[in-house]
Amino acid sequence: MRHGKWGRRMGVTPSASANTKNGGATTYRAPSWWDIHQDRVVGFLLFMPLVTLIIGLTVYPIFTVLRASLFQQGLYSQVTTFVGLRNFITVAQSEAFLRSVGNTLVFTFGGLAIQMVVGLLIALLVHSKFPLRAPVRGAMLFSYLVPYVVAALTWRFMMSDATGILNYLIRTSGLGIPASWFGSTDYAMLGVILVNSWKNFPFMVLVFLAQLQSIDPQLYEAGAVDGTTRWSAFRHITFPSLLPIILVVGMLRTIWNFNNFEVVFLLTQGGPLGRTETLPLLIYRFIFGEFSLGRGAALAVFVFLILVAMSLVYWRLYERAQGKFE
Amino acid sequence: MRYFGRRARLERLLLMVVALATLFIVLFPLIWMLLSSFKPNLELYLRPPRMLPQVATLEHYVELFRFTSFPRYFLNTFMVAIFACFLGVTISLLGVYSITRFKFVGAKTFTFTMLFIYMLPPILLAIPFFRIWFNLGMTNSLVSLTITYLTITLPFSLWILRPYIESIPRSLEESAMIDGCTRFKAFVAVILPQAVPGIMAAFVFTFVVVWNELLYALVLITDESKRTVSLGISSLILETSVYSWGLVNAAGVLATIPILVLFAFVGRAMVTGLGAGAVKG
Repeated sequence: MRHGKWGRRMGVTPSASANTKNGGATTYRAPSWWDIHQDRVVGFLLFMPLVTLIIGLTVYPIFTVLRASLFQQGLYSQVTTFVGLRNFITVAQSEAFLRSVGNTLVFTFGGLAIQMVVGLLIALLVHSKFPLRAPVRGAMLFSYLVPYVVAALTWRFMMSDATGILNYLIRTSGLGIPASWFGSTDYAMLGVILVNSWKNFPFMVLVFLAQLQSIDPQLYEAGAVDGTTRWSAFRHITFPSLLPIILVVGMLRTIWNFNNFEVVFLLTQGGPLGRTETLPLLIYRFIFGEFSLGRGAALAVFVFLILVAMSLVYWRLYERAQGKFE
Repeated sequence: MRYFGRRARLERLLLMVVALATLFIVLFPLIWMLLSSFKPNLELYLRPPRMLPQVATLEHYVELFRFTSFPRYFLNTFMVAIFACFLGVTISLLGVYSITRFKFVGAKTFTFTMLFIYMLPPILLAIPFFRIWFNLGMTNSLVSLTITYLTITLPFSLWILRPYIESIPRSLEESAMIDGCTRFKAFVAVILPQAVPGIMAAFVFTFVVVWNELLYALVLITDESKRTVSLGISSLILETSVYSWGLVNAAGVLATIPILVLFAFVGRAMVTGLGAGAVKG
């Protein structure tokens, strides 16, 4: 151990480390506070920037939202009036609130179901061997990697009236459904769910595939010796091995769908007639459309509480899944 | 599992067909964007639409560079992403190292908090950030946008780095410290080289996330010259009638290229990042 300028104090007790600097002669000194704690202090200092930033950049901002929900305040104004829980009552009584809760549920779980099922099927599929497997797997991630604006751009382009290829195909197919889904009150929600699923299902494939690869092949070999069918191999070997990760990723995707702002904002902006307005969109409208910081914050607090609950569930599932594989 | 003969061949064929169909669904919209960006305006309105441009043109790209501020947007996004990622990864790395090597009171709570932050809806943080920067007179600034992006890059890099750092055996740095290294020197000389793949993964992944980010930029930036690429494209497509789809497609292609280039070179690192937090690292 080195002493530096703090190690000057000589003392009565023999120090744990002999100072070898003066030719190996043993000197005695009491270990100073610094000697004992130096390592921990360094560790603490390394940790400090992260903690400080996290508190400054998330804990404090969340606290200000909680506070803002109790006041009436304009977005650009410094004048605040304490109104207690009135913002919460106003929001809860507004027609848009119930509608957006419903929309959020449909958007979240509709998207979850599609992404789960498609993700699982495709993962099982590309897990088996076929020519060009590696490039196919890689290319399958593309829609997950591109920015949301690019996803929205290309789907809006394909669905647009004058230039859209999908618009043209639907129009000429004679199916009798609207050619521009994002402007249709009946099809807009389906449209945003499908685009969201198109964008995000590769994530599911990726995670499931990683898990499939970690299943011990001996299990299948043992099954084959016993003459199991492929379906029962899936039911008794594959599915149980995947289940923990299915729960974890399912919860994660639920949270991410629930939080998603970009897909709906870029495709429909919550329209037509609020049919696709989810909770994040409504918060955005309250604050940046109607300039009501109080109401937006109140709704944000509501969303925050739901998220706390969902995160706790996620955390439990995550820990359990980890325990299972370690 | 035994499959021989015709049935197996048929099965493999079916497998290929389904895989290619999925691939088609994933790639078609992007390929369509790419092809359309080379079509002259007249061809974009062609009925029935044709797949390949009959006369390929670069006019939309030229227009994008000459007459719009997109070059500026690219530069802005690039600068913001580099700084936010560099700071985020560095600070996280030190923190992760410390949290895995020392026992702190509340370390578990802290880890949970970080996971929780990683899941917060961005709109929730966008509200206070708008107010905070507004009160400081710092909306419309790339510096405040960069600092705001730390809320993304810090937790993401923490979750990517943690398994890497945890897997480096303590005995490595302990022996370095017995040989006379200080904790810090041991960190630089022993831990850092071992953690390079993790650092790469964290950097690449957070770069992509920041490059793709829209909401914070939407809320904080109103000044045209401060826009990011995502914000630039979103303001083009959200207009009631898009002025030139060719231009928009060209912008989309250019916004995608950096990500695909990263994916081509460090795909593995990116895939690591994608799974972080969901699967055990």
